[in-house]
Formats: sequence, structure tokens, C-alpha cells
Amino acid sequence: MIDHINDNELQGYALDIQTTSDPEISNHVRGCEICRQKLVQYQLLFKSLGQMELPATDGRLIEAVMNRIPETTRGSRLMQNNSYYWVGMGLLLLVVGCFLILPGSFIDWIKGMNVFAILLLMVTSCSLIVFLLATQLFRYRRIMSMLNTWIIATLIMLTGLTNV
Amino acid sequence: MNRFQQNVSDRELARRALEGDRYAFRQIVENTEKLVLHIVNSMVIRKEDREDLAQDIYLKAFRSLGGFRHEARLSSWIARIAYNTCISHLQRKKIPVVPSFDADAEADLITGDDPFQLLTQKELSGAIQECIKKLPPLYGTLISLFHISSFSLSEICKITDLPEGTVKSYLYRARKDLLKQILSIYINKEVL
Repeated sequence: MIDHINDNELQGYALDIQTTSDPEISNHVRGCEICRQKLVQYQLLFKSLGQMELPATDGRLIEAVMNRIPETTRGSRLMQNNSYYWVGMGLLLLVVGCFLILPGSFIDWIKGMNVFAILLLMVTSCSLIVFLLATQLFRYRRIMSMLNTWIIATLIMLTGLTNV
Repeated sequence: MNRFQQNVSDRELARRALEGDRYAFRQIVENTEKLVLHIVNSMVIRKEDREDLAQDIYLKAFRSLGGFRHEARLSSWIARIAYNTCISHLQRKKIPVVPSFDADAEADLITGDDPFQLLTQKELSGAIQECIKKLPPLYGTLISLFHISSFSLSEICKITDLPEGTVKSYLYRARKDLLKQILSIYINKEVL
């Protein structure tokens, strides 16, 4: 019984034939009509697949998608992505509210807490506040930089107009 | 356009779309529409379902654009959403994604006259497209992503969330099934 090359090897050979010609497979393929035929079929299949084009589109999908996408004003989606900011503010307000409405029991609750838990709470809160402030500062700088550009451009235009 | 330029462009488009620029999102849809339709067509048979799914894919992409981390191409990220949406659809419809039987246990490939030599390129493309549709959904998708859309194995692994060995194994079976189907179509035509 002749041992033919298995399909897995033939596929690999057909895919990489340009770069990695395995002499063992090459010799076998040259002498075995069945394997040679299969190899050629795989090579032609891969070539045909590579020449196939992606489906043509008529623009209906784009229109349908754009119709279903809500109208958003500039920045409103950024706001959605900063939902953590509003959650943080909400939690802060809740804590402050508890403290103001129930000062006695709130202080008692704090007193009853473990020192380690209080420290952990404080460190987490401080980190969150620092992170939020840094984000806001970064955004503020970016907006100011844009404003500066506009002001300079306007001044140059005004100076030019005055000179004329 | 090289990979760096592509990433810069993706980044810019994603940023503008996030800021509410509808034209930027429209550009993203235009750039990836063919790929998404190709994945959906490979995985879903019903035309009505395909149209709804394609729209759902872009709505999901729009909603989760803030989660795009630029680790991959935007097209790969959207392809992943497309793949996952189609898989969920198939699971809801209880359609198997891969065959439960072992393809290797079947009879070997039919050999004889070579249809690739005898059919014109157009006829062959049509036959291949029909045969891809008849493959199990995952097989058709892997063939499309690897051979037609030219995604690398690692990109396909990211899109499908499958290990490389599994993708290679499925691709091997898919190619074998595809060739078998093309040959059987040709032989049936010969008999007729």
C-alpha cells in the first residue's frame, strides 16, 4: 500500500509552496499522480479564493445605520464615556448628605470602623479625586490651547484689517 | 496605506466619532461595510436576518466605540463584533456553528477530471461562493477571513476568540470540505 501525503500537509505545501518547498513532499508529488492532482486542486482553490472580491454594496446599509444612530451633539458622547465621573460625584454627595442629615449616627459609624478600613477608604477616595482633577486639568489645558489659537488668529485678522 | 498610517487613521476616526461627528462614523461604516457583510453572509443564510444583523453590528460598534483600545485595527475590532453578533444569532436559532461529526472520518477527496482547469474563472468564483454558503457557519467565516479578506491567523484568533490550533484545525477541515463540495458539484454537472 502506498502512503500518500495527508491533506493537512498538502494544504500547507500548497499554501507555502513558494517559500518552503519540502523535498520529501516534492519528490512524492512528482511520482504520485493522486497526490499531485490533489495538490494542484488545492493550489487552484487557494488562488481562486485569493482572487475573489468582497461583496458589492449599494449604500443601503450605510443609510440604514446612519438613520438608526441617534443625533448627538459634540461632546455628548464624551460625557457618556465619563459616566464614572458622575458616579463618583453621586457617591460623594451621598456621603456628604449622610453626614449632614445624620451627623451623630454617621460619626458613630465611622468610629466603629476599623482603622485599616478607614485608611483604605481615604486612600481610594483621594486617588479618585486626584485622578478626576488630573483628567479635568488635561481637558482644561486642551480647551485653553484651542482658545488661544483662535484668539491669536482673530487678532492677526483684526490687525491686518486695521492696517488695510 | 501601511499599518501605522491605518492605526493613526483609525484612531482619528474613532476619536471624532466619539466626539459626536456623524461623518466620522459614516466613514468607519464605509470602510468596513464589505467586510461586515462578508462575515454576515458567510454565517447567516436568511437574507432578512442578514440585513438586521448588519445594522445591529454597527449600532453595537457605535455604542461601544469608547471601548476601542487601538490594540488592533478598527476593522478587526468591528469584525470581532460582527462575528460575536452572528454567533449569538446562530445560538438563539439553535444552528450549529461547526459540525458535530468528524470530517476526517469521511471518504477521501474525489479525484478525476479537474474542474479548476475546465471551468472559467467566473464560473469557478460562483461555484466557490455557493459552496462556502453550504459550509458550516464557522468554516465559511474562517475561509472568508483567511483567504478572501487576508486576515492573519493571529488576527483571526482575536476576532473569533479561538486558540490558534483550533483555528488551524477548523481551517484545514473547511478547505477539505470546500474542495470536496466543488468537486461534487462538478461531477454532478458532468453526470447531468
